[in-house]
Parts: sequence; structure tokens; C-alpha cells
Amino acid sequence: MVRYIIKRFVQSLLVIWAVVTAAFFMIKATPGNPFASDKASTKFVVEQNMKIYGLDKPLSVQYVRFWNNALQGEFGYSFKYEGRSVREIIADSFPTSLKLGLLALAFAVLWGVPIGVYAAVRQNTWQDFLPMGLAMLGVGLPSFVMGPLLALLFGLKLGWFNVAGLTDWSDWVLPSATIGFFYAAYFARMARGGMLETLSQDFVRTAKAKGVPGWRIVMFHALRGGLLPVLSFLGPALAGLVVGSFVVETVFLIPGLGQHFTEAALNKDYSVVLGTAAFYCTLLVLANFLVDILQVWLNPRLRFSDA
Amino acid sequence: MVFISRSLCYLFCLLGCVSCQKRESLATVAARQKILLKGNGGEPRSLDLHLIQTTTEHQLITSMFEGLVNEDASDDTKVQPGVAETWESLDGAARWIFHLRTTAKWSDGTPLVAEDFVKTYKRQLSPNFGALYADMLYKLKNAEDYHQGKISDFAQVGVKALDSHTLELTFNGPLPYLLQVLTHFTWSPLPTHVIEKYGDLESRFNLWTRPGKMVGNGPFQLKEWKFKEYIEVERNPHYWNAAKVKLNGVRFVAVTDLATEERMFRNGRLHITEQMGLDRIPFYRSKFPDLLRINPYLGVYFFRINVTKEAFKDQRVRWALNLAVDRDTLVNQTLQGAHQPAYGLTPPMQAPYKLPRPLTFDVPKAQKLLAEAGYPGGQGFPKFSIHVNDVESHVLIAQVLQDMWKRNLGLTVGIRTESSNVFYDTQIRLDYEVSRAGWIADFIEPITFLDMWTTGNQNNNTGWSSPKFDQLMRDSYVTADPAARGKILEEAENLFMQELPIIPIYWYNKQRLVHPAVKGWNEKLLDSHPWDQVDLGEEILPEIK
Amino acid sequence: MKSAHPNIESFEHGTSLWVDAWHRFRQNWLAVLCGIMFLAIALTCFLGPLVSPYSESLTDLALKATPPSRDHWFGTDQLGRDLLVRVLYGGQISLAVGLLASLVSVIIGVAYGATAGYLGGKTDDAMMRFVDVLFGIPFIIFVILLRVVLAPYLDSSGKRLLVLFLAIGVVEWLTMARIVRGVVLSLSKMEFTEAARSLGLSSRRIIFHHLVPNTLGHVIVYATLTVPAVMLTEAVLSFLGLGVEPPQSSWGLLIKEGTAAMETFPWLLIFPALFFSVSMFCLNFVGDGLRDALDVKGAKD
Repeated sequence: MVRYIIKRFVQSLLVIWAVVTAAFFMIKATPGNPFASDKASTKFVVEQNMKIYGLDKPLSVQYVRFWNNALQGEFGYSFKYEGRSVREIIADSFPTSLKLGLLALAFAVLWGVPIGVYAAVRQNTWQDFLPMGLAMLGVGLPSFVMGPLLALLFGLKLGWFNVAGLTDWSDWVLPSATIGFFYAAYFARMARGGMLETLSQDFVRTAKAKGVPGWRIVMFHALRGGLLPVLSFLGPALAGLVVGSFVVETVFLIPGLGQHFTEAALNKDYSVVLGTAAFYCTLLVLANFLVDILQVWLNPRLRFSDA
Repeated sequence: MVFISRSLCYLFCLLGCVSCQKRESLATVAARQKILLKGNGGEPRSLDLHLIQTTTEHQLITSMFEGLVNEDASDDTKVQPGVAETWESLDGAARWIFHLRTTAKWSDGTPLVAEDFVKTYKRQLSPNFGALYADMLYKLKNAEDYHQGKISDFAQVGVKALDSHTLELTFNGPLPYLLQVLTHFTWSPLPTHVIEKYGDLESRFNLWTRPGKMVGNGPFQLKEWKFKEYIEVERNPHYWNAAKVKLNGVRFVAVTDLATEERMFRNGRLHITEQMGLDRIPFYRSKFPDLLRINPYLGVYFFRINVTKEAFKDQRVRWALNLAVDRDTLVNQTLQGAHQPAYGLTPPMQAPYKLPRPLTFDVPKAQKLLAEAGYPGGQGFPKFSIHVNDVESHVLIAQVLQDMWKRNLGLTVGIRTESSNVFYDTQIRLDYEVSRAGWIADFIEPITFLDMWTTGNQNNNTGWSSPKFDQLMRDSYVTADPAARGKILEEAENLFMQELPIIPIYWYNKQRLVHPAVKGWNEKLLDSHPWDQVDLGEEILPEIK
Repeated sequence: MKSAHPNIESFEHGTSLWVDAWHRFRQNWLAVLCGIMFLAIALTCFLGPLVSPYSESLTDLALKATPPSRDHWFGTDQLGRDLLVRVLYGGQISLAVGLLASLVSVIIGVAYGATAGYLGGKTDDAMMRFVDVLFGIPFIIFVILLRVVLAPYLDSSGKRLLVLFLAIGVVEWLTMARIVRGVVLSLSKMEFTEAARSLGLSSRRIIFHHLVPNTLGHVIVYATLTVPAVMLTEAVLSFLGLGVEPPQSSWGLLIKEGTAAMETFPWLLIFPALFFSVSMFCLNFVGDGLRDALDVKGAKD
């Protein structure tokens, strides 16, 4: 196990290096500069700024310098928000996104997985279709519709929640539901599929034949295997969830990390792009790693292989 | 299923709890505390006024910094004394002397002196600092040369502290409209003594603008800065006119989404929105006209024509494109009458000459011109694209133009969207045929709409260049007599409108929602509202359903 | 392990997996109903515009946005264009992009994931880390770059669509590969795989004839979830200049526009959203039905 972890760790470093390197050269290859705006600065001022931020140097020099700083944990300053270091931006906004992401995940799991499992047990009856239809809401209504809709309904019409901002604990409900609904659809579908598969396996049949009660079979025997596909999806999903969502942050005015991914890429905010990419990638690798371990744990057959 | 229904039960109980505690809205509570909640249209780039260039920061900066003069609360043609109590213009308005008020202080209590202005301008013009709007100061004598490193002695630049409270500004030529220029924030002083305390004066990574460190000289001072959420300012006790200031503070909320901003307004979380969706205008116009404010905002929305492309070199083609656009229908129907159709370049304002208005909607003439240029009925005209950045309203307008040119001229036109940053780059590289643009005035004087069209100006970007126009602009810089200067500008603008390298669409209005409790928020051409005039009353927002 | 318990009849006829599956699918009334509905929507989208008196780009600026009426069943948009015909044309784009790009992602994802899962060990590691790398690269930068590189080739709507498939397909297969790999990894430890291996079958045969069919359930479930995601991604890409060119539209774009004005002109949101969600509901129920039908062991024989 220790050997496996070390191996994965080394691989992860390689992945992060590759992603950041690719992002570095890709963003440098796109046209535009971070100091462009509707009211253009003079050419001279733009050049001055390029020099101040070291963008006048050849790419190879910039690349080496970038890693030199990055290895010391320093990703430089944002080009869009003067004087804000990438580290500060991440430190400021990640806790918010993490909290929101975990709440959304909780919502998605609590709403999606039980529906999926229940639907699988009642396969092909209205008790399968109706809950699944409910779960599918999240896919039928994209978050940029769901968010404003929830804000309008529960915020303005019913007056139960504030429509935007994070001042009160209740302000977390609408945004996490918006994200949660989307993921719940995935969880429900995949849980249903996985459960059906497991329920038809021999050990479940055996258990059934031995007279083990239905809910016990579901909870103790089938659930474990049935959630396997949910897990492979969960890895990337988890990383995506906790780094926030551009749409939800814009709609509900949440100072999360998600908007920085989109905004920085669109604004050529090089340092923020690279810093957040490295950060996201680390989370992704970590999440996938956790999921792989969980997968081994849930699937005894894999346990004695090289893992 | 039991589990689901049970959790649903809990959920509804929870929701019920929330709903039973009906609270006063934030706007009501804040109004009582005299704290204005204002939408800011986004997160500012910086609070250091040398490192900003857009309107997002404008109101923030004027709440914390004050220049030599202030805008008048309601009359756009007037200015009021600011840090300067009195002033005199010498040498045909090419040299100005300002007498600073002795009561002017920084928010840390330090007296504000003339030397502060000198140091501030020196920082802004430093060849190493990269201040984004440094060229605003190029009017100062030798400023351009110093900025570009051609001279290294700042004493030669036209700014001098004659004594602790007397400031002398010397310009390249006469500037009869200087007082209007000085209302722009680029001319405000910075607390150099504070900046130096936290690092190098000319370092870009000096964090002096953070709460607890930042010092200003305006009616308010920084209290709290929640990145990407809001910035709150509070009363500055050291402001010379503090007794006149009515508000205790302002919270600038970094909301970008139009619909979110409107919902926040209705939800009682904002007193003033920065903007609003045009589709909502008819609703407010008919149901809540008192909440809706639509005021002229000095700027022009237009499309650039790339005159370096073969087909657009012909002036007749450019006229045809212009005459085939039905501005009235576009603005009054599609844009809900939220703006004013533009029949010329410079928007309506007080100007030293009669502003030309040559544009009409004249399809037969447009068709005739196009035919004369060699494309009867649009035949043989190369397919081209309207270039816009990725904002829904721009794409909408582009579709209207696309439709009008197809219908009226028989042209096949595409639409090319690009994300904003790439979009600007494409424009600078002249890699477009027709491209969207907007220009908001820096100060109230027609020159701000004209001098951008000189050869090589960074905001020209059409490939259009006229030696005669350039010469007229240079002449205007050295002419002090208002009437003579007006004549020169009139000739320049007429020349430009005749060659027409652009397609003006509309002159901007500012549309926003204003809470009934807000007082002293007047119609202002530059949307700049002197903060000591603004107040909050007791009025409550009607329920908007 | 793999064999179901064929009844006598099917034993006699030697029915294949597919015939079996079809037989089972037909018994699932909801799935069949949804399938018919989905086809009906698709057909309407492709045939409807032919009989409509309006065209996608025909504007009536003075008319502006009007609610549904006798002349305009779905109302009109801000430029006075008939919404019904725009929804139908938009459906053509969305369905084409959604289905084709998802298909591309399924093919790549399944082949890649199954190979990685079956081969295991170092190959698996290398392949999956490659997926991690692609997953980590910021999507928007990729899109902007693609837009710039391909700018000279985007002169016709056909080519624009092709680029769209490419851009979306290239990204969407990643999760699919992870899922398939996870399933194959567990299958490859099962007895039937061992048996196949001991029979000396080639890896390729084992992967594509024995393992992949067993992953189809998961694949279908995830693929049907991918379709709506793809359709919405298309709307984002169109704004960045990679997708459809106005006045052409798509469901994603129409919904986006409709959301912006949802209180003022609710019909602009309701109709496109209705078409979108109903077809996605149907597609996903069909997906579930197919999954159940292909699940040999779960068959209630």
C-alpha cells in the first residue's frame, strides 16, 4: 500500500507538471494581453506593464522563472486585480467554494442516491419512474436557469431566502441546491444503474434465496457494489464541485473560486490561470486518488492485485 | 421512500422556520443607519487611482479621493472648489495657479500640501511605474517626454509647488477647459507619505490600498474590502467639508449580473443599481416609473469600419452602410428606447460649436451610393462579418445591422463573436471589417470624442488617418480663443463625419433603479455624483411583483 | 457466468444479445413511449421548418417580443422573429451536436477506458494519468486557442459544426473513459475473463467482445447524461465564437437568452426549455430502458 501511494504521488506530480506546462504554453499562444480594455492604454504604457510583469522576456525565460517561483509556492500577482497575489485569491475564495461544494454534494447525495437506489428496487414501476423524473430535473434545467428560477421563486415570490449574497446561514441553501440538483441527476441515474447490476448478481440471489430481508440485502450487500460507477464519476466531480461554479457564483453573488477560472482565462490573467490550474489539478489528482482507493475498498476483488 | 419523504418533511420544516421570521429588508435597516447600498457593476481592478482606467472604479475613487475641483451636484457646465479653494489662469490659460485650502487633510490627519500633487504626478508619470492612464497628464508641459524617458529631470515637468499651499500647473498650450479636465480622477492627489510607509512609492505590489492602511482625502475612507463581494467606506472625520456629508457610509456591491442586481434591488438589498436589463424597462416605465432613472450619459456606441480593407476604402460604401441603418427603429424598438439614436459622433452637450448631425435613414440614397461604388444591389460585395465581443446585447444589435444591411443593401453579413480580451486584440491588429465599440467621455468637452481619431492614437483602430484632421487637432491645442477653437473643432468633426470611418448607433443613457429613500442623486452627464449631496430618507420600497 | 437462462424458445432460435435486448426493451412501456416522443420531437425539428411560413432570420423589428398568438404559436423574440421556427431550427443544431458529439465521446471513451482497464498495471497508470492531464487543462483556454487556430476555417456553418463536435468530443470522453475503466477493471478480475484469457483469445477480442458489452449499461446511462451537458456547452462555445453563428441559434442559446428576460418575456424561456427538458427526459428514460434491456443478468426471465 505504501509503495502504491508513493507511486501515485510521483505520478501526480508529473500530471500537475504536464497540466501547468500545457496551460502555460496554450495561454501564451492565444492573442491579446492582460492590459487590453475598452479604453486602451497607450502602446507605451502597455509595454511598460509587460516589462513590469516580466512578459517582455522570451517564453523560455518566463517558463523557467515561473517554475522557480512556483516551487517556492509563489504564483505571482494577478494582472487583473492589482496587488492581489494568486495565493491570496485562492486562500480568500477557496474556503467559500469548498463549503458550498460540500453542501451541494451533500444535497446531491441525499437527494440523488436514495432516489436511484429506491428506483432500482422498484424497477419499471411508477415508483421507479416518478422519483427518477424528479431527479432528472437537474439535467432538464441547467444551472443558469435553475439558479435564477430558485431565486425568483424562493427569494422574491415566497420571500423565504435572500436572493443573493452571503450574509446569513440561510443564504447557502439556494446556491447549494442549484448545484446539488445538477449532480443529483447524475448520482440518481448512476446509482440506479449500478444497483440494478448488483441486485442481479449471484451473491444477492443467494442472499435472497436464504431469506435475508430485502432492505438488508440492499443496505448491506448490494449498496456497496452498486455505488461503484457513482464513485468513478465522483472523482472528477468532487474536484469540480469544491472549486466552485462560475454560473452559481455570478447568480448568487458568491465570492468563490469558480469565477476566477473563467474570468482569468478570458482576461489573460496569466498568473491566476496557472495558479488556479495547478490548484485544481492538485485537487483533481487527490480526489481521483481517494476514489481509486475507495474503489479498491468497495470491490474486494481488486484488493489483492498490485494495488 | 420513507427516507425521502422524511427528509422532504425536514426540509419543509426548515423552510417554514426561515419564512416565519419576516425581517426588515437590508435596505431599510441600512437607510436608517445612513449607509447607501450601491451596485458597483463588478470588482474594481484596484483602489490605487493610478492603476485603473474603467468606470467600475469611478464612484469608488471619488468617494475616497478629491481633486483640485469637484463636479457640481446638478449643473454639468459648472465645477465647485475641491482641494483648491481658488485658482487663477495665466498666459492665456496655459498656466494655472491653484490655492489649496489649508483645512484640506488626509484621512490620517496629515495636512494635504501642494507637494503631494507634485509627488503624485511624478509617480503617475514615472517611466517604470506603468500607470494605466498616464497619458491623461500629457497635457502638462514636458510630461510626455518625462514619461517616455526622454528627459529625466522631473523639475522640467509643468507641475510645481510654489509653497505649501500653492500649486502651479503649466501646460503645452492653452487649456480653457482645464477645470472640466480636472474633475477626472487621474488628477487627484495620492497620500505619498502613506504609500512610502508600506513599500516603494513606485512599486506595483505595494499593498497600501488595504483596509487599515489606506488613506484618502475624500468624504469617506475605506472600512472593509471583501474581495468579490463588496467594499464599504465610512465617514472620513478629517474631510474638510465633513459637516456637509450626510451619509455615514456607502457599500459598493460587486454584482456583475444584470438580473441578479435587479433581484437584489427588489429584495431590498440595494438602494441603487449600477445598470439594468433593457427588457425590464417597459415594466418599470408602466408600473414603477418613480424607481426608474434614465439619464443621458456622455458616450457614443458605434461600430468601427476597417478602412484598410479594400471594399471599405471607398467613402461611398461607408456612407451606404450608415444610411441603411434605421437608428430610430433599432433604438426605440429593439433597445426599448433606453438610449438616444446617434445621428452624429459627439453626443448632445454644451460645446463651443454646432455639433454636426449628418446621418439619416435613407435607403434609396444608400443603394445609390453602393451602386456608384460598383456594387449595385450589393452584387459583388465581399462577404464580411460584424465583429462583437461576447455580450448578449452586442450580439443582438449586430443581428439588427445584419438584417438591415441584407434587406436594404442586399449584403451578406456574418457575425463573429470573440471573448473581450481577444476582441480588443483583434481590433488593434485591424483584423476585422466592422467592429463594435463604445466611448465614454472622460470630461465634458467635445475634444474627448475627437482627438482619439488622430493618426496613431491607441483608440483609433480603424486604419483611418487624415493629415488635415491631425493638423486641425494640433491647431486646436494651441488656440486659446474659444470661438476660434470652436471653429477648428467644428471643421475637424465635419471632416471626420464626411469621411465616416465609423457607424454611430446610439448615444448612451444610463439606466438604473433607485430606491425612493435615496436623495440628491441627480442627473449627471458623466454619472459622477458628488458624495456630499447624497442622502437617505425614510421611504420604503414598494413591493415589486 | 455470462449466459442468461435462455428459455426454450429463444434457445431454439438462438437469439443474440441484441434481439433479446430489443425484446425486453419493448416491454418497458415508459421507455418505448419516451423513445417515440423523442423521435417525434426530432422529426418535428427537422420537418417542421419546411412547412412554416417563417424563416429563422425573418425579423419584424416593429413587432418586437409578443406572447404566443394565432400567427406565432410560440410568440416572437425581441427582434420579432417567430420563436417556434427558431426553436425547431435550434433543435436541429442542438440534437445534431448533442448526439454526435456524445457519440464521439462514447467511442473514444469506451475504447480508451476498456483498454486501460483490461491491460492494467503500468499501461493503465500511464493512460489514466494522461486522462488526468487532459482533465486538468483549463477548458476555456483550450476553446479560445482552438478558435484562434481554426479562425480561417470557420467560414461555413458546416465547418463550424464540425469544429464544435471536435471541441466538445475531445473533452467529454474523459469521464466516460474513467467510468469504463473502473468497470472493466473489476470485470477483468472475474472468472469469465480468466476463462477467455485461458482460451488464448487475443486481448482485442476479449476487450471488445467480452468486456465492452458488459459495460454498455453504464455507458448508456452516462452517455445519455452527456447529451444535455454537451448541448449546454455548445451555448457557451457559441458565445466564445466557436459554435453557431447568429442569426442561427440552438436550444442552449435560446434558453440562455430566455433566462435573461424570463420575467418580461417568459415564453422566450418556457418554449425552448420545454423542448430541451422534455427531450432530455425522454432520452434519459430511453437510456434507462436500454440499460435495463442490455442487463442480461437482471432480465426477469
